[in-house]
Amino acid sequence: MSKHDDLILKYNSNELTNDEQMELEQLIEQGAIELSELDDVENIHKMMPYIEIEKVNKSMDVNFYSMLADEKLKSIPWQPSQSFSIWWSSIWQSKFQWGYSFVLVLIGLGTGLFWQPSGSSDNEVLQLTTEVQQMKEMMLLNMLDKSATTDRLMAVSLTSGMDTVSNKVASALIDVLRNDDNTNVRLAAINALAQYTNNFNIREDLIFSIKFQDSPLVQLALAELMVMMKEKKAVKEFEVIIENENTPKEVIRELQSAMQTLI
Amino acid sequence: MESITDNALMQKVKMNDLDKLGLLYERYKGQLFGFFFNMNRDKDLSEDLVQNVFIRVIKYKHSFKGDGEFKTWLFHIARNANYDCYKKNKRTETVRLDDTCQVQIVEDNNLAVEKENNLQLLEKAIDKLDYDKKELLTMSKLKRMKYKEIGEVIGCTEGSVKVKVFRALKELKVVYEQVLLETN
Repeated sequence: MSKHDDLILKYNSNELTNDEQMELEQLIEQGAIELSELDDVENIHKMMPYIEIEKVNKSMDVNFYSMLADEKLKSIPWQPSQSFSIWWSSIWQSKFQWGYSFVLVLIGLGTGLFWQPSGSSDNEVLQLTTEVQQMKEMMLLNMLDKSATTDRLMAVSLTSGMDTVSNKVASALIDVLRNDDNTNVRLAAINALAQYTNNFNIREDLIFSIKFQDSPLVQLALAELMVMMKEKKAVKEFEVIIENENTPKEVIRELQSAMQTLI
Repeated sequence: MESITDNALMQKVKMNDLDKLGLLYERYKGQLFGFFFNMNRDKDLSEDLVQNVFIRVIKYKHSFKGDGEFKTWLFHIARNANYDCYKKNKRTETVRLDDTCQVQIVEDNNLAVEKENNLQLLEKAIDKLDYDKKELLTMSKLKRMKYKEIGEVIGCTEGSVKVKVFRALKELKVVYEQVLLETN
């Protein structure tokens, strides 16, 4: 029997002196004795993995992705302000800034190409990014069905940073814009859809959604968006709202102004 | 899928490609939640702490050097987040654990399966350990982290971690027996 075995035996029989206890710890530290050789600690150790852990709630994912969307918005140096028209005009007022930005983008592209990793790694990143996007879309669709307004607002905010959306998500957002009871959710849907106005179907659906709106705020937001899109087809839809006797005068004035820009 | 390393993803996050944080979150949310849940036995708090970790990852992304493992860096942040929370809620936490114990004693009487009973007593014993020992056992035995990884997180050698785990398990055994006596 080796000295180590003797120590282990004594430990397991609870007969170690203080000096032997110190020697045992030294041997454990050096890796000469494994904890699995010591009966009592091994018994306790074996029980531990069976301790139950609660399952993670879906809300944790929702909170995380909302936080991520917020952080991404914060990390963008410039965002559209309250009004699309102010944003649009500010673009044309800052031609020099655009010039600088263009040069910076070129430098960025050059540096990116120079440092770019192997093609296969990029493909994998792309694949993973796609998977995350699919997951976010799935969560978004689930949350849009929730009765709580905050849930639906959170769902719409998940589109932030998505360069494209699937047809399913696009039609869900259009559906929200047309049928949601809450004005804030409709406004959020307009903001979300504004990212994808280069998609022909989304543009058409947005125009068609104008007639469903009775909230002045939503009507004005859509008018601003149409001006930004330079969408002449929207004029007919806004004429109907202008001719409606229930439309407030202030809204009529704003819509007429928007229509003049479009025509 | 795992071929893209955590470090490579974190480097992209560091360059403001925040979407990649979603991938790291998917990889580690379960482990982090388990760590916090084992430390606090509170589901809502554990979820908040997971969120807090990723907020800190964004905040301190510039400090990720990439010369060590991402997991080590992440658990370093997780430990700090949990310790900050522990310090903040120390008084409340003590009350909460006491309440939990009383509830569990009542529940234990109704439990027919001995194994379940023993596990509940073990949970109770773990809760009675010092913060450091509880944290060490959570990492080594419940989260199955390697001694070397734990050493990197807490800043000591692999051998030293083994000795610390040995002492913590020994103490746990003593506390477990006390809890067993109190219950019987």
